[in-house]
Amino acid sequence: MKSRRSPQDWHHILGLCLTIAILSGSLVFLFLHYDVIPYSYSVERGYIDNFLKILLSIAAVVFSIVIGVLGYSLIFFRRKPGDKSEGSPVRGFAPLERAWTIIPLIIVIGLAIYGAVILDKITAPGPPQTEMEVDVLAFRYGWQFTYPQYNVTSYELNVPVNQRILIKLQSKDVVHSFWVKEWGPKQDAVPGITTQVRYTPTKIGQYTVQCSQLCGSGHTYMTAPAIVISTGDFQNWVKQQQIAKSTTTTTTAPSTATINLVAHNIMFDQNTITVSAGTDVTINFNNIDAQVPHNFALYSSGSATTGTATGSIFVGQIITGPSAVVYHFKAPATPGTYFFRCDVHPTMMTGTFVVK
Amino acid sequence: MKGIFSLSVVKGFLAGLAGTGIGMGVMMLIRAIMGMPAWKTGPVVVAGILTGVIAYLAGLGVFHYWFRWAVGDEAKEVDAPPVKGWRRYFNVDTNHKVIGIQYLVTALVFLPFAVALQLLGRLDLSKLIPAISASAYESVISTHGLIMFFFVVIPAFTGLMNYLIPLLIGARDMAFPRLNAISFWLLLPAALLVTFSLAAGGFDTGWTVYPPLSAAFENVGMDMVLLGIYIGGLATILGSINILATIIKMRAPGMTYFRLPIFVWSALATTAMTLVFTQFIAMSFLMVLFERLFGMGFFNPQMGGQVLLYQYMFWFYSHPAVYVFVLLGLGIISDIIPVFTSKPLFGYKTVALASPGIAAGGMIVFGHHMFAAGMPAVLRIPFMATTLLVAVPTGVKVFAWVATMWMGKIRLSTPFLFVVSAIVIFLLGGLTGIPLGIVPIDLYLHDTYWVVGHFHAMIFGGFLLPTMAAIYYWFPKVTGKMLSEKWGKIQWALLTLGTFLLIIPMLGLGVDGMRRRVISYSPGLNMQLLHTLTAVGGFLVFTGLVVLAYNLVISFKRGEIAGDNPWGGRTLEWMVSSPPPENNFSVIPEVLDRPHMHGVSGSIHARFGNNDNNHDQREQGG
Repeated sequence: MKSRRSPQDWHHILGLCLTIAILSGSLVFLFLHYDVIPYSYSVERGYIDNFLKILLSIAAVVFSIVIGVLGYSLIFFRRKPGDKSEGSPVRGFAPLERAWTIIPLIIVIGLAIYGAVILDKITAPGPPQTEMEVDVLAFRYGWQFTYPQYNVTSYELNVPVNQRILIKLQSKDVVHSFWVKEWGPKQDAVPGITTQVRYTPTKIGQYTVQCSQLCGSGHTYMTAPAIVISTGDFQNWVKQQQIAKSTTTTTTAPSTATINLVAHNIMFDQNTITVSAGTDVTINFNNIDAQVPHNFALYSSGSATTGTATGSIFVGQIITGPSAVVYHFKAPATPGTYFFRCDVHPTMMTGTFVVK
Repeated sequence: MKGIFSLSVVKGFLAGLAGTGIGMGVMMLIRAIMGMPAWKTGPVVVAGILTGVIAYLAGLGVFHYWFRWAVGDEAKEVDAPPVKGWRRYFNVDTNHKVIGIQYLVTALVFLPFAVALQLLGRLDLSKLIPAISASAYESVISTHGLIMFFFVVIPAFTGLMNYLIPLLIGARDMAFPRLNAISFWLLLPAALLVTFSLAAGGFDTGWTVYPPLSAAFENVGMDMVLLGIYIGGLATILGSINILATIIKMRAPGMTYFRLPIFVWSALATTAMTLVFTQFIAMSFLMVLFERLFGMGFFNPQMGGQVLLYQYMFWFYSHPAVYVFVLLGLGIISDIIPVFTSKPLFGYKTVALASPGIAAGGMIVFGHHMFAAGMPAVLRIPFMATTLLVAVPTGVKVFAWVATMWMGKIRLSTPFLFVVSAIVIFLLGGLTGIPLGIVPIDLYLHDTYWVVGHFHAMIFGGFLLPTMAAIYYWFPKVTGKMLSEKWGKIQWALLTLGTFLLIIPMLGLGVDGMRRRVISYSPGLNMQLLHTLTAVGGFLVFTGLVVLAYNLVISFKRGEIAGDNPWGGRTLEWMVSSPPPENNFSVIPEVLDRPHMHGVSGSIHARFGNNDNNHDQREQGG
């Protein structure tokens, strides 16, 4: 180890410090002023975003130090042609090695403590009266939302703005995950247990619940609208849902054989359709799935497992949602059990067409 | 043509086919006798696979020595290789150098295949080809992951360890040469099973195979994968025993632990982990297989099971596994930098101890894969603490590397260029891992492309780029020829640019909220450009691999003659000829000091003997 440094060494160390200062300064400036994660629309997102900015700034400084030394060395410490001598025989420098062990140790311990504090802020239960409970059932491939205090069930998540929501998650079949990215954290829905996550949305608008744990071939489209509205609008919505619940709807075919069929979340809303033999059938087909094509098609027989069908009786036009179309065809004259499906999703959207 | 049937691989393959048929037939017979329908895909195929693999091993000839010992025959202590030349690589050969090359070639064959699989997925997401079905997409990406882990990364590192460790420690072969051969040959059926699962309906679950989805998934591709990984895991465990015994017991005189190259320290830490933890992925996969075959309910809440049990078991292996995937790469970097800077490795002792430090820390962080999974909320805090702590020994290595370069005399040869790219990408990966270690931030970033970008940065920086450096550094020792520097630099440029283009857009996609494992995304999100850049990066990487293949072939035929020590390295392998003799060292060297002591006057790493009978007094370094 050298005991005396030559002026050239100080020259290099100064240049290095300058390089590191410029690099880290520009990166830190970038991270603190640029909206790194867009669409921050909840209290929880606020905490997450701020912490991430701090982390990125620390990362920028560490990155600059290492790249600074690396880059500087690659430029200024190259072997000159014809120089056969070896480099300086420095084997280590204990104070430096101690410093670059202890300082990162202190930093990561600090980050862990702060992480625990922020975690508590976004997950700690508030007083029960201040939280609105929404029970969420995840299934392949959709979401069902139940509001126990209003006795309302819906396929859309409507919540009032600035209200802390407690989501209690259950799964009917496999592991799913509830995530509205504008609101921040996600939480897996696990069969056999009930998991919880809390949000306080701060901006009115329409967002999307997206399943964030691979659950099968319908995973990509396992979504639901997440709508944040004013408190007044929310109360109106609740009243509407309660009224709608009390009127019964029927899907058995009246004498004119008109059927309302909905395609939502890669599923039909009915598995069985019954008509009388030979009648003129009208199907009002409503495709709610945005960007997803569906149709209704009737066959003599078919299988959801293999995705095949034979003996086509009627093949409806394929429409891309959100849109609706009206199909007209004549039901088979021979009574029996027939097979209907969506030709685009032949293994996931099928049903039985009973002709009496 | 007749000679081809003397090759183990051909005999093994044919025996394996016959065994599979017999196993399937026997299972069908048993089912018919028991009154069930003879054919059911799951049980029949699994029975066929099990008997097929055993028949394949028997056909290869790996049981030959033990069988003769068991029946009391006089057996030779060390088998002479029955064939010569290129045929050795298609045979059961016990020489560690042959086995090392077998592993490396296997890895280099599966690497472009797995990359190509994923390129299909990338093209789909960039909307540059007509959309493929969801099931096909999920199968492709899941297979990409598993093939990369078990048939590219692990064999490549095992191959390097096999070839280099005896040479680096002054031994003539590994501790258990026959066991070594079996470990390699077990890999092939495992690789074939996972690859051909694609033809059997694939598996829709991601490489993590979570139940209940994996238990319910219908196609037999799932069973093939479960068994394939089980067999591959067995190969890894057997290999670890061998490597650990070799390093602990067969070092040359004077080769104390603190005179080992960092590659060997990394090998110690890596194999200690694979020995202890691989069982857990084997167990978790086996339990899923039993759910599928026998209707057992380990993870089925309706039968008293727990879904999360699988995740705990699976990640208990799969987290240490990722350190297995990078530790050796970090060791390669540590051993290459001194050679091309002509300086000793800065802080050798701390770097050496950092390897088991990372391994030890890596054992207790696995819960960070489950922060959103529904485990008891307060358990997440200790896992956050341990995850952040393991960054400290990792950081020590990175700082030591650049400190070694400072005031060195740097040669920008291809191995060193790859090391530089590796350091930058690995650092980027490590820094993007810190947000993932912090629970509230992970709850946003989990299952997004930020995670995908992070781990690809770690793997490119900790495995792919260092392995390229290793290939360019040790090819002269293995073959006696130098790889072309010109094509090496072209490959380096393609791989480095491709890596950055691949990874940085993924980080951007992650913060924008792009979920993993989805087959499309809403056009309104403006993600198509980032997906396209990622795809371009992937193609550049693939092109780099093609250039590597070209360089390997032309240099093998017409490369410049290397000599014993073309790079001026100061470790034991450069004391023997290139390629090394069959038994490495005719005289075992005596080790006098640490490796890589460039510029330290009076330091000699090792020499060949000092008594008067041995006139060949060669020294390494000084």
